[in-house]
Amino acid sequence: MHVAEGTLSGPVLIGGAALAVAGISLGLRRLSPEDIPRVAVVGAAFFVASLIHVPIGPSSAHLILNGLAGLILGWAAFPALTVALFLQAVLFGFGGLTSLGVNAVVMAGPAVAVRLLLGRPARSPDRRVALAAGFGAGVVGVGLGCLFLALALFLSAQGFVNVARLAVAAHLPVMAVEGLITAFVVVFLGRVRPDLLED
Amino acid sequence: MKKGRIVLGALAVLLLAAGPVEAHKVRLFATVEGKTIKGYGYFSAKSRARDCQVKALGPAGESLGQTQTDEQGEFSLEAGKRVDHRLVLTTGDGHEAEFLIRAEELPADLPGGEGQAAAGKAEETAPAAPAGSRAEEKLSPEAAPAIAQAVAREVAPLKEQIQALRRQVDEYQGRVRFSDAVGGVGFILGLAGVAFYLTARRRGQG
Repeated sequence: MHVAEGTLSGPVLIGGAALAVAGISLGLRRLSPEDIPRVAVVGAAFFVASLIHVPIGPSSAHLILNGLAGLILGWAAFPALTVALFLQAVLFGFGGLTSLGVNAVVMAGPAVAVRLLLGRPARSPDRRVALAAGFGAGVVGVGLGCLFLALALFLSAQGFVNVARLAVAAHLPVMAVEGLITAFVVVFLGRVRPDLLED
Repeated sequence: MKKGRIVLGALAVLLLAAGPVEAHKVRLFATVEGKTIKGYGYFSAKSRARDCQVKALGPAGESLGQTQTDEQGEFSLEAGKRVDHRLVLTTGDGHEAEFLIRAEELPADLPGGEGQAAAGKAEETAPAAPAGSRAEEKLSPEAAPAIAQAVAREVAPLKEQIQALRRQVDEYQGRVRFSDAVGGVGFILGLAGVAFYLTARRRGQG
């Protein structure tokens, strides 16, 4: 889901960068020193997650973890994921530097949305509600990301429906795996460190 | 701090579980066989880029051809001119890769800016050649094509080996390295440290 250099048009890149800067400043403003370790660990996990390969039958899925990042960090997902995306671009060649802003919006935008939509149910003491919310967070995180990606490509003059269908279809196994992993992590955190899911 | 250790332990497990990755970036590799540019797009050594568009652009950005990769991620394009071909592969969902085929790799008998200039230079230096060609004439004119064929036979396995080597180098360049993953995590932790320092200073002064 990383957009490479040279794929998007100039206006889209600039718009994405502007949105990313807005998101990052919002995230940094609400950051207190106690949050720093949490932000660093989640950012590092997101950075490494793209390397993790979960075989599913004939194909495989790679982890994204933006839904989980949103649940734990909220708006701070913007600075955390932007740093991780920057490192992925520079060290692994995933995505690009000019497309960093757009990639940040594609990854962190859904993270914030997940937090707003599913943050409360994820904190629920009822384990089943938390499990369902966690699963939803994983699915929505990846699914919305695919739609944002399709939107960015569409605005750069490519057919939206085709790209959206391609991206979502390719990421269905990823969504399933993300949903499961996020669900279990949410339940685990709820038991061990519920404060991580708080505001 | 036991719970903090759990989080750090989980992170260590994630790092160790990092294996070969697919579909985060696409790469393109191509070589020249005769007048045809042949190549393939791939995500990793085990995963090819199927049904992707490949465009060939000339030095001035003009279109020199377009095709799609097949089921094995492979494609072939006829080269019409002896110019630099900039190959661009797009997957349709945001991934793009480039590969440059230089004019020198294409056969000299193709029309094109470079080829004609080289031919012109050859004509200029022809008068100076007779000294060398007289030595060749002593061999006998019938021998020349036979010699050329023999050389081509000897060189063919070398050419194959070099192509295989170029493929290996290309795939090596594209691989994700564990050391890079460790470096990235270290960078993030360092950033966190700097953030701590800055906020501590601010609080100390306040």
